[in-house]
Amino acid sequence: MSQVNPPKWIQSLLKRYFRKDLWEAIEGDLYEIFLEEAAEKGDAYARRRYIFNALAFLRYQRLRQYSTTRNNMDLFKNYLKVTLRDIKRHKSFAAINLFGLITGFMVLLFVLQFVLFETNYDRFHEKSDRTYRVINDRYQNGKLLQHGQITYPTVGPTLFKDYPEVEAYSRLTVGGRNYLHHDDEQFLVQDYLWADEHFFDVFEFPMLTGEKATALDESAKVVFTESYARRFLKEGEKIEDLIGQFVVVNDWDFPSEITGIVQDLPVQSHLSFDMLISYKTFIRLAGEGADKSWEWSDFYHYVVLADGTDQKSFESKMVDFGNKYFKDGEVSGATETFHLQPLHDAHLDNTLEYEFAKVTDGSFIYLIIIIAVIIMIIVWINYINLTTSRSMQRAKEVGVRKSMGAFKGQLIGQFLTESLMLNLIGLFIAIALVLLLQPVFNAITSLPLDLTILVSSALWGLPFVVWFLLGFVLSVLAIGIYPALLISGFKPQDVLKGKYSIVGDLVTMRKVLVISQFAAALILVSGSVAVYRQIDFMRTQDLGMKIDNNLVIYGPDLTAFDSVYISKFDRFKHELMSRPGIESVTSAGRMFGDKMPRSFRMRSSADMDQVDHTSNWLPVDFDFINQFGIEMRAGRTFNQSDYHTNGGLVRTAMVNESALELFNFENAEKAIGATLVNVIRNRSYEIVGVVSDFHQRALNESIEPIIFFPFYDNSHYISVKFLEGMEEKAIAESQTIFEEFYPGNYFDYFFLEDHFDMQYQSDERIGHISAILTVLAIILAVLGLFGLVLITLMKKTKEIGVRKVLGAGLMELLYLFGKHFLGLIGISAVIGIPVSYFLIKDFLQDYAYSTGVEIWVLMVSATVMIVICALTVLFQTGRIANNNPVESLRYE
Amino acid sequence: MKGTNIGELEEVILLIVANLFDNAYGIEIKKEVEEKCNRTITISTVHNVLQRLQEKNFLESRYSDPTPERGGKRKLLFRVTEAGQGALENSREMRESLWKTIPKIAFDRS
Repeated sequence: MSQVNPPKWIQSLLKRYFRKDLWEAIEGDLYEIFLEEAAEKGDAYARRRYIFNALAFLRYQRLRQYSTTRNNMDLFKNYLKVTLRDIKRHKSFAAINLFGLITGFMVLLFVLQFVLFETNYDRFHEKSDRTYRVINDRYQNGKLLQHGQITYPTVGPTLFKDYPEVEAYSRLTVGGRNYLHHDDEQFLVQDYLWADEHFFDVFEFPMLTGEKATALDESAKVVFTESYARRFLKEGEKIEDLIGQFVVVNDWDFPSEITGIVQDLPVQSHLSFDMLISYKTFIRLAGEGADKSWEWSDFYHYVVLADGTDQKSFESKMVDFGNKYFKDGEVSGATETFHLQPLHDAHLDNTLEYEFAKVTDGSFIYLIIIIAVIIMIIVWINYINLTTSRSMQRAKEVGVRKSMGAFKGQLIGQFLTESLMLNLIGLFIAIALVLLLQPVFNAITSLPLDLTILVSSALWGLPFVVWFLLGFVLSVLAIGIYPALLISGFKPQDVLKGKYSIVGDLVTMRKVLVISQFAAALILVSGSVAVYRQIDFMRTQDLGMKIDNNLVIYGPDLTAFDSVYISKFDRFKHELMSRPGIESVTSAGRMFGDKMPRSFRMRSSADMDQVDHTSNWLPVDFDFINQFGIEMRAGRTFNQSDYHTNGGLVRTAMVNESALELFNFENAEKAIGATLVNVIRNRSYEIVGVVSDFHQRALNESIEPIIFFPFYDNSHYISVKFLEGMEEKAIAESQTIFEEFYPGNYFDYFFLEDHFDMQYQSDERIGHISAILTVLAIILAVLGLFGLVLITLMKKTKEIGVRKVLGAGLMELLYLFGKHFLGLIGISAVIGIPVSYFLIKDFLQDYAYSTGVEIWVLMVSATVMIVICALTVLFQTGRIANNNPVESLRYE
Repeated sequence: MKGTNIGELEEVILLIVANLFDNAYGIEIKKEVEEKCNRTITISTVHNVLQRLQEKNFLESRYSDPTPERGGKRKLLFRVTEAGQGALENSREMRESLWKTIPKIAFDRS
């Protein structure tokens, strides 16, 4: 006998539904069919059929336990009819409500799609819920110097060895641009990782062909993604044929074997790569330090904790780990503390320094959710206000219904049904519009979004859509219940006699709602303006260097860096500078906007205590300072004699003003001739020049100390300064000469200004989105006000007529009826301004250099809003006040 | 009391209940209908018709003793009442009288 059972839930559901005397027979019959079908066509089929058979019973009234539904249906049909009549009779109110609901739901649905997508990164890894990124924070002389994921190559293996909780780990490091040679073809690879043999133990990237276990276990092994690997395919070759073939990376003197092809990565992966090179290859090229160093920190670690391990308690063990191995700065020059970041949160944290993965600003996600909810609240407030203030019009209906014997409960039900219906219509139209506009939205966000994500993502163990519907129903009940209670509470005898008046707390309630609506709108307006002001400020601020009209070329990294490299590079520069339109040429290890490397153990001759300091460092050539218009504070810039093809012979350095302070120099002049020592490399450098501070990074970061060294390298960027308007020529000339001097290298370029401005992309995105949503919020709030004014004045049509007959002027009428509303808006400004002040202040805290909270922004925003509202009120009042008093007196 | 006339499906099921004397319950009736009339019918419809017939007093029902093969659930067994029998006979008589009075020429297709 089969052990399978029909679905339990449906049984318990039906049990409540059927007549008690029939249930046993029906259950028995259903079970018999189930057993028969299970034996014949399998369990799954039988279960499906069971559900179908059971649900088929729902058709028959006769079998139900209670059969009162028919009567309710009739009532419901009546509600529907009355609602539709009401909508028809008062089109403008219905339009305001519907427009608001549709817009609100559309915004909410789009925002939810985006938010659910962004918050569900990296769920496809099987162990993702217990996988963590290792975060390494460093302190020196009591100050936090670096908050980031990069750490020492020994951290992962040692954690694994010392703590049984660590089930698996993987370490990796990031590659820059590189080249591959397959057969005789050359390929550019922009995005790759050096990953160790545990990579596939931690991450779940399905492998199409090849062995996960051995794909990265030796040096000179590489794995590609499918779409990249397809580039290697020859006519008639299959993807499987690539396994065992070889590529030569860069100019390495050994070929690397293709050992695996993985499926293209899902979009929701914070890691992104076209190629993985085995970590042992990195050790082979860079030396044992990449495996065993406690000083070299360019490595990213992931750990998987055993099932049931608590993150917090393991993190406390990592404190001991940091103390034990790094001995409070003795080993690496800094106090090292370690934390864990759940993999699920990785995509939402963009605060880590030297980030390499796809991350975004998590607070932005919360921001737009909040704005979407505010919009929804504004819409619902409109609904409440418009319904309650029209309650008088419905009072008669209620009176009649009550006289006919309707219970209060039924009336409440009626008005809740109305609220539900209007919201449902709004939701359905919004869904239709979302389906229609989805391609546009996807193009804007460049994400593959659709509504199914509401079903496919889960929250607290249930599909999100369940929560959405629950929230929807609760909200609809919440906004419906107040008008429903109010309207159903009228006494029939009063109403039918025409004696009814607005209860006092209704007016107060409406006032509070209007005030909060506009306070919220004001906060949104001033917030958006502040974001734009900040972006504008960052854009227009004097950076301390001039980066306009600079074309940046990638260095000739396939040309060997040998003893003639520098002299050849000088000839290349001269050749380029001799061309018309080109002003000067320089090279540097990093460009403006890039994160610079750091040295953690620098000491200065001015520092009596001889403690370690941490500074950025930047290799530049001798035209760098000149070309970018950076001012010299003391001493000289580099000259040709400072450079050596053997970096070990370099003996000079320059510093910026921030570094003066760090290394305890009294002033720029005192620094000239002083010495800086790199403790790790045991080398000392004489300071020959001091330059003024400039903004290497966007203005949300403060200027950091920089040491400049006179180095060249074949991977350094080459920046070509051209005359205004000559960019086409500069590109053409640069390409010709670059290819002439460095044949076999890729010529690729970008404009420095664009590169620098990329840093403001996420701020701009916040600005644009909050601006769009703000405009919507204001339109909706003003529409609500418009409706409210309309209703109020409609009730006073006769009063206005009488006043006009008695000689009241237009201005008097405007004042009389407008002051009430403007008073409310005034109060909302009083509330909104201080709240905006603190929110903007909080937002600007993330920026090291900011506009500060500008009071005028708040004032202007408030004024604009008051003016818009005043216009609305004036327009409405004016319209009615201008009417012929005869018309007004005839009204009703 | 609703009228004594019965629908086609009601008649079929009434006849089958009579045929299945002492074992006329949901599944068995469903199977008989499917077999004898060569049509498919859901169990819910069978139950619905049975209840309707019972409301018209053409059927009476009682629960059997529990049987293990139905997960311990008892069968609801039906039996045709006298009124049911009357209704069937009425319907048959009506048909037969109608058959008898068909003029021969009506079916003569030659």
